[in-house]
Amino acid sequence: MSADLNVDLGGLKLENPVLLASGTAGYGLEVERTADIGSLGGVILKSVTVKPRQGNPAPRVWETAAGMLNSIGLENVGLDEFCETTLPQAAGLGVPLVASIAGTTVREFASLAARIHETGLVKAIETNVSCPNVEKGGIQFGVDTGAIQAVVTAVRENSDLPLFVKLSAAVNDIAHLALAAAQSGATGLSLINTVPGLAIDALKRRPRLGGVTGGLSGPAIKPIALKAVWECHRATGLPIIGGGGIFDVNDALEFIIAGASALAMGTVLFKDPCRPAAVARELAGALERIGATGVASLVGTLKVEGTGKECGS
Amino acid sequence: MSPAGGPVDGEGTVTRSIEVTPGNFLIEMAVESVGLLPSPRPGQFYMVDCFDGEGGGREHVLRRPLSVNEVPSWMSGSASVSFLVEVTGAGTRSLCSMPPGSRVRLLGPLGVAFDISSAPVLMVAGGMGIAPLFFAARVMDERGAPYELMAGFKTGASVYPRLGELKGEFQLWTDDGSEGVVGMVSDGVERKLSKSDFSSCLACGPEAMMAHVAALCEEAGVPCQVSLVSRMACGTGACRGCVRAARSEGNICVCSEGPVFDSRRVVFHGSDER
Repeated sequence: MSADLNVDLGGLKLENPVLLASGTAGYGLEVERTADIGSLGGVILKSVTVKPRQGNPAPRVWETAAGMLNSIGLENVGLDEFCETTLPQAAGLGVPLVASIAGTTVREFASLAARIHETGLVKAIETNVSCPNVEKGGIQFGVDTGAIQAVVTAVRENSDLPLFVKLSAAVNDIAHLALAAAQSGATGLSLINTVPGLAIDALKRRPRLGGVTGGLSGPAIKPIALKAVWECHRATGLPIIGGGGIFDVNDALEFIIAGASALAMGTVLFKDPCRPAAVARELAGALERIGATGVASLVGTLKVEGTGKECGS
Repeated sequence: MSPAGGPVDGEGTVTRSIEVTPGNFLIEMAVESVGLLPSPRPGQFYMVDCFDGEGGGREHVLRRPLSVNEVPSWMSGSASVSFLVEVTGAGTRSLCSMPPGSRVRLLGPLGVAFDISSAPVLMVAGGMGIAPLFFAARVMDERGAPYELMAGFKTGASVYPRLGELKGEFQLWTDDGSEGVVGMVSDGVERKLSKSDFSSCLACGPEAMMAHVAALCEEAGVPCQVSLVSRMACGTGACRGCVRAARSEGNICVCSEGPVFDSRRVVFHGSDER
C-alpha cells in the first residue's frame, strides 16, 4: 500500500500536504497551468488587505546567493474585489484555498476574517503578522505576544475556520510567540515568513530594491525555517504549515520530520514552476523509502539524543 | 504541459552561441513540445533558467526574462528561438558561456507582443533594444509590409551585424559617429515623423530614449508602443515583482500586461535599472 498523503491540520483537510506559499502564486490563477495546481494539496493566496495596495517602488526582486529578496509591499486588489471577483475565480481551481489576511490594526484583521468567512470559499485563514515589507502592521505585530493574541482573538470571534498564524523567524524566541498564538485559540502555525534583508549595489552605493530592504526567501533560509518549525512543534504541538526554501522531496521530508504537517512551496516556483507538483507526486515514494507509512506518522519525529543542550541556541 | 495557447515550461538545447559584438551573444535554442504552442511573436519573451541544474538549482533561484530575437523555425520536431543577450551579470554570463548541446529550461512565450498589424511602422532601437525590433522587422519583411528602422548603438563595434539581412529601410546611429549618423537615435525621430505618415512607432532601448521617442510621437499624434525591461521572478503576473507605476491608473505589470505598452500608460524612469 502506498504511503498516506492525507493530512488534517486541525480541520484543514488536504489530499496531499503540498501548498503554494502566499505571495508567490498570486491568486493561483496566474500559475494554474504552469504549476499544475490541480495536483497540489492547495493554495495559500496572496495576502489581502482591507483597502487595495499599490505596493513598493521598483525594483522589487533581487536574486541573492541561494535565494532572493523581495519587496513587493503587499500589493493586492483589496478586500472588496478579493471577495467579489478573485475568490470566486480562484475557487474554480478546484483545490482547497487558504486566505492570507494582513491588517494594520486588530480591527482590520477582524473585518478581513469576517468578510472572507462569509464567502464560504476558503478552507482556512492565515494571518500575516510578519510581512517585512510594510511599515505598519507587518512584522511589528508578529514580534509581540500581546499583539498576536489580540489578532488571533479578533479573528476567532469572526470566523471558526482553521486559523494559522504566520510568524517571522527574525525574533528572539519564536516558540514563545507560537505559544501565545496557541493560547489564544490559533489552530496552527505557518512558518516561516521571509527573513528581513538588504542587498547593495556598491558601485552606485544604493540598495538593490526600491523598498530598500526586503524579505529573503529560498534555500538560503531553509535551516532557519527548519529550526523554527522544530522549536514551535515541540513547544506547542500545533499543526504547522512549514516552508522556507523547499526545493525537492527531500526538503519536504525534512520539514515533516521537524514538525510540519503541510508544506508551503514558494520561491521554487520561479526556478521551476513544476517543482511543487513533482514533490506532491514523489512524496509517497520518498516516505516509503525512509520507512514511513504516511505524512501524519512522520510529523515531528526528529530524533535528538539527550536533552540538555549546553551550547548553541 | 499546458493546453494550446498558454506558455509552456519546457526544455531547450543550445544549438548556437555566437558573440556577435563584444559582450553580446546571439544564442539559438531548439525548443521542445512545440506542437502545443503558438509561435512566439515580436515583443514576447521567455523566462530562461541561465544555470545548469547542479544542486537542484539552489544556488540561483530566478530565471532571466529574455526577449525573442528571431524564430528561425517553428515546426513540430524542428522549432527554435534565438535570443540576443548582453552579459550584464551572473545569469547572462552563465548563459552566454554555455556550449552548444547545453540543456536549459525555459518558460514561454510570455507577455504581450507588439501590434504590427498596420503599416508603415517606425521602429526605434537603442542598444540591446534591437533584440525584439529585429524580430518585428523580420516578421514585417515576411509580410512585405513597409517599415523604417532607426537603430542606435554606442559605437560601430557594437552595431548588430545582422541588420544587413533586413529588407526594409534602416538608418544607423552611433554615439561616437564611428558608423552611421553621430548622436542619439532619438534625435532623428522628430524629423522622421514629420516627413512620413507612420501608423505607429515601436521603441525599445534605454528609458531616456524611449521617453524621448514617446514624447515626440505623442506630439505628432503617432501611437507609440514601448517594450520595457524589468527585474522579474515569475513571468506570469503572479508575484508582482516586475510591477512599476503607471501614468494614470495604479501599476502596470511588465510581465503579464507587457512588456509592450502603449507609451501613454508609462511613467519613464530617469535612469535604467541594472
